[in-house]
Amino acid sequence: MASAPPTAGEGSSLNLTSRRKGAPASNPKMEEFLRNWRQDALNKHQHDAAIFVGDKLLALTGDPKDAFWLAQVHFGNGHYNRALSFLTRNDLISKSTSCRYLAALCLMKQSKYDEALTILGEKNPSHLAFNTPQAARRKKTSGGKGDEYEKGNLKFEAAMCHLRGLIYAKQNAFDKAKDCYKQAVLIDVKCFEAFDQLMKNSLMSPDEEWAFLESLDFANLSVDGEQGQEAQFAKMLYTTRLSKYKNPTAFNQATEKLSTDYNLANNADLIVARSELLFTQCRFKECLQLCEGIIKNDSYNFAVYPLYLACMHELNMKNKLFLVSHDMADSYPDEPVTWLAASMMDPHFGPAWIGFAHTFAAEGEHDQAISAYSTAARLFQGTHLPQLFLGMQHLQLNNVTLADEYLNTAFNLCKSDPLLLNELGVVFYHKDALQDSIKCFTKALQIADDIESNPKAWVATKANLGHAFRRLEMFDKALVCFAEVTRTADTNDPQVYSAIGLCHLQAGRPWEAIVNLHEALAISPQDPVATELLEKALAENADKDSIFTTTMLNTDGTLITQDSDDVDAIIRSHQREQRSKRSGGSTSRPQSSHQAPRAPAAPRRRLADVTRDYGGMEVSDEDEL
Amino acid sequence: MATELPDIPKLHEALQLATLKCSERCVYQGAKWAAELLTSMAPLPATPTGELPPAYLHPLSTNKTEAALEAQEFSQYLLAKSYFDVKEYDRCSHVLEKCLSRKAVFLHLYSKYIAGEKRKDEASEMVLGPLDGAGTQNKEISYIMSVLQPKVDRKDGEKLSEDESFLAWLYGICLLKQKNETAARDALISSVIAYPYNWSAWQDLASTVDSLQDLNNILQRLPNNIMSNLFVLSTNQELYQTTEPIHSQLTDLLVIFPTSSWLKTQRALLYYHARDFEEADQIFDSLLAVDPYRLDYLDHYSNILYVMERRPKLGFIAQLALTTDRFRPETNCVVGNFYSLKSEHEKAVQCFRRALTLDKTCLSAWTLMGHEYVEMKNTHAAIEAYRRAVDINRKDYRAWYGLGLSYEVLEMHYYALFYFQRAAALRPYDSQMWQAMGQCYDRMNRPSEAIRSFKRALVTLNKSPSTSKDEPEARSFDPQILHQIAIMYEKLRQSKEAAKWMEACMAEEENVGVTTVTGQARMWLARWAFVNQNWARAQELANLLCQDGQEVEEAKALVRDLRSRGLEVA
Repeated sequence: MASAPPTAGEGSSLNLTSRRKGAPASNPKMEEFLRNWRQDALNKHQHDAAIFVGDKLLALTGDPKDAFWLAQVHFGNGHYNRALSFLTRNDLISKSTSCRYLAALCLMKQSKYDEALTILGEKNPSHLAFNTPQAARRKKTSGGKGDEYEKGNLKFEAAMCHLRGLIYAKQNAFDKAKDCYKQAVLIDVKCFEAFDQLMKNSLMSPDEEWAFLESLDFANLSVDGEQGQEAQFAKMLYTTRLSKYKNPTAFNQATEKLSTDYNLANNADLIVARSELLFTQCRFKECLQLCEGIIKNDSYNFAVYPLYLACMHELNMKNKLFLVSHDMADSYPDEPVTWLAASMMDPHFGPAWIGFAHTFAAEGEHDQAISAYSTAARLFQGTHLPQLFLGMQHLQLNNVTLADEYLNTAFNLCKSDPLLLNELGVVFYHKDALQDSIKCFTKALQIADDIESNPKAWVATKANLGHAFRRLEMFDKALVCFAEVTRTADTNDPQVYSAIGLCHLQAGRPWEAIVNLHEALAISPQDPVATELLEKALAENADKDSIFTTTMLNTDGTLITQDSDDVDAIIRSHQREQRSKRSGGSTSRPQSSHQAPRAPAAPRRRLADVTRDYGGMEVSDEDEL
Repeated sequence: MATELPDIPKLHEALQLATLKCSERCVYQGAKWAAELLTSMAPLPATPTGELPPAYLHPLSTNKTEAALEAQEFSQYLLAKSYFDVKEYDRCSHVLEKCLSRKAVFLHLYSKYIAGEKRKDEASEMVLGPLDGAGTQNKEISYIMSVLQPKVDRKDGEKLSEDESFLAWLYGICLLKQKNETAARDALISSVIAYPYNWSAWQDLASTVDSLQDLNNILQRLPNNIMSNLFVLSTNQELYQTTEPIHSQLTDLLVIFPTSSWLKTQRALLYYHARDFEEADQIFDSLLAVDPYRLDYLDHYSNILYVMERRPKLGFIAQLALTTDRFRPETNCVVGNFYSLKSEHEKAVQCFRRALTLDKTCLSAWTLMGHEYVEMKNTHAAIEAYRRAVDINRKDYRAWYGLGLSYEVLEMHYYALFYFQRAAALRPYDSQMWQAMGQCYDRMNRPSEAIRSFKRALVTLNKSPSTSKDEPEARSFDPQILHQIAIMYEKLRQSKEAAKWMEACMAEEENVGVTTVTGQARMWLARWAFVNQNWARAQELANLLCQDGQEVEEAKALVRDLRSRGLEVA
């Protein structure tokens, strides 16, 4: 905050009337000289010189403004205590907002959050927000110098709101923190720190975020008070930071305009925003490319690293991940992104908690995963993700009711995440509400399509939809889904083939079922489901008439189909022929012409068995033969 | 599909172009096939003006924009092609990453596919090892598909351009790998319609054909040209159709390509399927005399010699193949067959394994290896080998039949039945398949279905479409099968019906003479007459049996029984 020192006079917010009575007459020339000197020293980070000169200046003028600046120098030098005591000593805290702010900041730096809060006051100055009636009145009446002062003061009020938010966040009171941040931005749109906190920690749901953006007072930024280009510019910049789950068109418009009109096409922040969008669309490869572009220009741009690492993880680029992580560990051992167990260093680095939980989930340790997700849920109240993951964990543990609860909470936070809709669909599926589950899956796929997400990521949803259709005995629709799954999926999944087989089996087509179940077993030979289904299908197939129906090419080139009736007809005609031949020709039997046995003899039977078998049989009627 | 005589100079040109186009795209087998066909035509008469025929070096696309792109990217293309030729597939693919012409896009993706196949083969390690199977897949496929789908998947049914035909072919291959048959067939059909001279596309299309109905369905969608005629011929051959129309179509085609060894091979295979081994042997022999270094289809020739048990000749062919190239799968199949004929099954298996290490899609090797494992009583390995064979080509009835027999051994009758069914569907005129099925039903205790199967076996014997001459008694029934049918009726307790079939079986003696089976039938009838108290007939039948044959003892017992009852007819 103190890193970009404003020139003296600018940003001054001290009450000019607070000058001590009876002070010697001012020496403007000397004051000017000392101020310039102090400022020069500050610009060069020569703190000792700045303190030395500032001290003299204060002695000369006794101006609280100069006192504030001296404190500022102490702060910049890292002497928080000294700055604080200086501020307290001169009783500046009660007199000026800027001093109060600085004092609170000093306390914050020393982790004395409670004391800082006492200084700041627990309440937000909500009347200062631009959209309140008081603000409107203020706007009307104010003008001239007082307006200038008002504006400066407002900025510090906003900054204090932000600090208040930070303190509440440290105290795990996220609701309060969120209110404070929001208030800060509402009071002063330029309070980016607060806005950044809101976005970075996803304290608001996507809908809330967009509504919030609309409620901000960008018009105030314009020099002439009209909706000028400054306002538009700032609004677009903020737009790029919003949740990517909604409104990709607005986002694209903003980036487009920023790139073309303001020469920000290669700006790292903008590219990060674009790659975030790509990431939510599951287009990891393109996202990775963008990230690599940023890293090439600025190899330690920490904002991009979580995304970059996640991309590499998604794309299974273990080798590169290894190299990058080692590189980072060597260069920046203190940055939280460097370490997987980052939660140990910065317990508020939310992505780490989720990542931490993901590792447990992947290992099948559901309980640990759930507790880690719960922590994340506490940290990120605005995002639906932890709730969603909790729901998924419970779903895996077959706690359908619990999962339903979590997922519905998530759904209230974000109605447009396809992954969430997919999970909700699964819950419906388990509750046998198939129509509802189909609705969810279809909606998920539609949203995934709308945000131009990579279709590969939604293969599972498509398969789920297929299963739901199958359960409703809409086999054709199910088969269309499964066919698409086999086409888009990266690897051939035996379960999909089993599902296709099951569809055919239920639809009374055992042959097709067998063919597909064979595919499933070819991929995973021991698959118990496929084996069981196959046995069923084979048994059904054995009952089918189609076994005896075959096609061959006739001598005239046409296809002929033969079935059992045709066969019987052929046999009958043949027998008639034989009979006529026998009755016409000689009936003598070529007795002596014994041939070698053409087949092994059948096992002998005892006469007694045979006669018993035939007891009570009717007399043969030879004429019929 | 009737073959019309095409414009010969044009066909010449088309085949020359096809060879160049395929080889430019590194589709080497397609190029080889087209060139062979080209040279099998009669040479064109020299042009009277003495003009040189046009040379087709690097034929550009007929589409102007495509041609311009190809010209622009020519240097990258040349680099990529040379990488491909030295088997640096990934590098080849990488060079063409940003190229736009369809030719370059094809080569970019095709080299990626080949690289993926190579890695897949390396990952599957040993033949029939734990990693060798459908679980190990080509990892590049999904990328290739994602690039190709928007390019070739036309929902509006619009025709593809000639340059896109190769892309559609590659798309079809990928779909086949994912077992997405219907979509694959659509892609391949659109490819061969757009450019008919890519034989590899036709071959892949043939692999989606299961039955004559399938073929018929596909034919409706194909144009009638010389290539589709060749396709129909070879597919009919693969479907074991050996009727006269196919032979005559082949004769028609041989008019256009009089010296084509491929067409002659088709003829030999037709004879082989009809069990006319002599003719097949002769054709292969003559082919070998013309082109002694040709190893294509030699594995089929070795099968023929194996069945004919001509060991010296098989040994000669094996030596010949070994001196030509010992690292060709065909060579190893021939040698394997030779060892098998010498009953050295271990060595045979080793040869087939070697063939499969060279090419995992070598159908013959999988089937033959299955046969060897059956000989070695290793049923599970046999099943695995047969399974891989039918996975590569579902039209191999020997593998289906082998699977059926192996599952019979394992007493898994439902499985066996399905495989016999597939074999019988492919060769419905082959009574062996139906008999196997009948026996299978019998073991499943389902006599009525067994009867239906046996009846089919009965009919097929004299309905065989084979034109073979050495079957004088073409209109006779096999008494063995008649006897089996009778037994089945007996199991169904329909003795009257059983008696009829026994009579029919006995009656066949007129045609085939007395056999064990007819003797059994007579004995059965004698007992039947006895039970029905038709003493005279029982006596007559038993007396005949007492003279000789297997049933002597039983017949004598029956006669004694009759006598003791004092019922002997004077």
